[in-house]
Amino acid sequence: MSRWTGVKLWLLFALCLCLPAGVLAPVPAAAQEEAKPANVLLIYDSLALNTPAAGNVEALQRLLLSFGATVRTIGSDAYKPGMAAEFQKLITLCNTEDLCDAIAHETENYTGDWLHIGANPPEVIRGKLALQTETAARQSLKLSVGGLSEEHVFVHHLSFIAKGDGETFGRITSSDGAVDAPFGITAGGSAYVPYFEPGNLSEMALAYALRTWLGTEAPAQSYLLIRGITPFIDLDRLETLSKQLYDAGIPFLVSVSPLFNNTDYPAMKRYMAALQTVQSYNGSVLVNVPAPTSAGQEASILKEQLDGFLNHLADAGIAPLGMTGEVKRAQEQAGREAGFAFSGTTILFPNGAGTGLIPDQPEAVLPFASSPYSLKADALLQLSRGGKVWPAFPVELAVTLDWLDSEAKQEEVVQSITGSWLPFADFKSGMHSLSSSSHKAESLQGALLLDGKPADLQDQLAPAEEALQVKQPVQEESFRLLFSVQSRILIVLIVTTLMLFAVFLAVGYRLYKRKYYKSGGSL
Amino acid sequence: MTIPDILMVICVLCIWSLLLVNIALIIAGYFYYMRLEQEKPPELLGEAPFVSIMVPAHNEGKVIVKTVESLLALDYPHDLYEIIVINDNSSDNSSSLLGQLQEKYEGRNLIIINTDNITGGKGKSNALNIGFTRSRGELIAIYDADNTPERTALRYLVAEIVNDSKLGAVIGKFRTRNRDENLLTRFINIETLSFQWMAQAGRWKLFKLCTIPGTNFIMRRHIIEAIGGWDTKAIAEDTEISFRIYMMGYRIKFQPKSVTWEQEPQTLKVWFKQRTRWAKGNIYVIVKNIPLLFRPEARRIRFDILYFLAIYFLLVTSLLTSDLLLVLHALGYVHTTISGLSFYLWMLAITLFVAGTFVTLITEKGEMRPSNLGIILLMYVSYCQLWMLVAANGLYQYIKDVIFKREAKWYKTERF
Repeated sequence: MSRWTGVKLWLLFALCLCLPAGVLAPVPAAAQEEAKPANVLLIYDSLALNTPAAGNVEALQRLLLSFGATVRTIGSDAYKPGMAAEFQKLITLCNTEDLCDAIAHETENYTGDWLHIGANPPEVIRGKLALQTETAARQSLKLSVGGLSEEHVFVHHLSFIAKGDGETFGRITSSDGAVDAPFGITAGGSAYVPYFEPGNLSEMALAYALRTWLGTEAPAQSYLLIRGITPFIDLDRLETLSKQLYDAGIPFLVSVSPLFNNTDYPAMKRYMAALQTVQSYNGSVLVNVPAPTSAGQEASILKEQLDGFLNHLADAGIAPLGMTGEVKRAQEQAGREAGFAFSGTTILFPNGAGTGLIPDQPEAVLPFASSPYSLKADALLQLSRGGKVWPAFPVELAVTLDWLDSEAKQEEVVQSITGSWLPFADFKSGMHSLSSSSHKAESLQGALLLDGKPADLQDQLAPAEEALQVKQPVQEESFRLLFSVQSRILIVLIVTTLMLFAVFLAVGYRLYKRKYYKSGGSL
Repeated sequence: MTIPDILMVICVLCIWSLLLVNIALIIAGYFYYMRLEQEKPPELLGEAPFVSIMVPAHNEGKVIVKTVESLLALDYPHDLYEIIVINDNSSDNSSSLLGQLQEKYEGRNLIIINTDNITGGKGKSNALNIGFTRSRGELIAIYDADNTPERTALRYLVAEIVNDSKLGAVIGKFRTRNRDENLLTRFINIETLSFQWMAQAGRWKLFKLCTIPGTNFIMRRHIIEAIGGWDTKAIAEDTEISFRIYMMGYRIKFQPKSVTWEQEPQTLKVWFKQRTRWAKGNIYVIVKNIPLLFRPEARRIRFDILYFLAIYFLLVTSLLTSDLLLVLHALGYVHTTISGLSFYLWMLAITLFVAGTFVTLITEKGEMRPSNLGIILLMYVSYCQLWMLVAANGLYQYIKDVIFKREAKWYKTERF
């Protein structure tokens, strides 16, 4: 073989390696071209850890991604003069009053759309909105927006809009009447929201403000998403829950944990059977990307493992329509490409305990084609509303329900969901698609397709226990020939020797008798 | 194919190879037995030589009187043999008992050498060297202090060695005096009988090879002088001397008609200690003599060195490794893919063991008993497995001695 032939073979080999990567190319890139998302720079002064505002940077980033914006998040320390000019829109988030001036000063020459959240709005915004603000301390507030309201929201310090010129959103009123101000105000690309803490109505109110500020007009749907589905939960109860929701006419999604090893074990087969049942009860399956490990994780390995699991799902007749995962995973390019590259549909959850936002993200996080904003069901259900009917939400919502270990609690939650009048939409009505190395799942106008064919939505009978048993792989026994020959040789040798011993015994017996037995027959 | 697979194959090949060698030895030994049955006992032709019988004894008060009296009763001309008892640093009443014997048999050639902890107490080899300096026989016979030789034992040994100048030593047979004491002594009785036919008669028949058993043997004086006496470091001095004799160009013959009865350990603890000493001693001798494998003048004993090497190193290591692998496999820590031996084959192998051992047993008076079949079967699952522990312990003790540079310590077998 010539050297050139060798090079050609290597090239061919490299090409073969590249092909699967091409198949799994990130969908968001394509979506970006079509939707032309807003390009947003988010500057924050502090993560406000250990305060009620903790997590608001992360929630804001998730909200922006749900609105389809491209977001780059940096701390104010990392801001370099002129950086904001590269972005269409700027959001400054002030969690600490002292630091807000620094952000305002650094960005004072910015001319694009600007949303300021928190105290001390910059002069530019004050000017454009004819804004006057005041402060109040230790207040019990009532927040209301879009027909929803929440009382008894306690704040230590509050900056509120005393006067402004523009479209306002919601209201903030205090129980003692000292505060009665709009939640936010926007006019001509400038906007101001003085208060934002995740976990209360301000999260939804900010979504209203962002919707107007970003110019989003598409109607928003809400979906019910059940989190924490693993092979180790009570799968029978999952099937019961699916049936209950189906009977109540509630379409739903499940976020399922992938299984990377022992996929031939009964647990995996039972898992697949349960998910197939979920799908048959109008449940849509999303695959949860594991949170990044502290030790770091090889992106290529994760991608390969997830691909394997997605193929397993498809082989079992299950058509996953997207991915879920913690927002931190989306903030790292390697993790994003490894975990979320299979689909343009991704629902991001808040980061888990012990993991935080990546403080300064070196590059912008691209939006997904579809990324409903996840909001805990109990947070939503605690809100008051004027009538039974819920108002239209400002952003696509994934109302999440964690898997409950207690059957009684599950019953209680199901009752509250079914009686909530929340308008849950069928996820399959939207356009979603997911591609693994071997299969493609997609949904369109309520139809669920797997590899271009309608997916089987009939509930398959649970597999018999015998079928679930692990079939030990028939392993090629090594040295089979050697042992087979050895056994034959030994059997021949032993049998021959035994025959010889029989002769010896006969001879020995005669010798013994002749030698030791006396004529009378005794020894 | 995994590493455990390869290890398992090596183990299995070693175990079965040694089994086949032992089958060959049993068959050869049995042919030797049948030939001997047709021969008359050896007769002393010409003038009888003077023989020195040496009996090393350390705290042997319980058995020494019976042993010396049986030696005095041998049918060899009384004026042509002397009995030298080396009472080696004993703390019991051996000294006074032996003194009384001397008085009782005043006219006989009975020499008593009493040593203290300065001159003696350093093991059997040292005691034999002390006794040898006082001996005057051109042939030297050795008996352990717990032996009761049959009257003809010495005569047969002398007759064999005198009639063949190529023989450097002649060994007799030993039987278990206390065989009916308990199950352990029954096992030992079967072991000694089958060992003699397998390891002595078989090797003599096939290779003209034997190993001195430590008691009931006779050898030429000039050989002992030539090799400088007994190696005091060796705690298996018999194997050591055997190798030396062969190196000098002589042979050692097995004459089973010369019989001595010896007392064997009656408790497992004593048995374990004694056999560990044997195993350790043999390992010492084997390791020391490994270079002989490559020397032309040692070609006669190559089989013996290889045989002992195989028994103490290969077989023990193989059995331990294969057992360990089986246990780990059962626990799920190790996975082997080799196909095991069939149950049928194992059963055949056990039948072979029982039949082979029984064949050797019925050469002896009083041993053709159906109960012996059961005892052999029991022996397979208990005594034989204990031997593996003994050999492993011997190997461990030897390695420890080598690492910590400890001197070999003589263990005195407890008498009952």
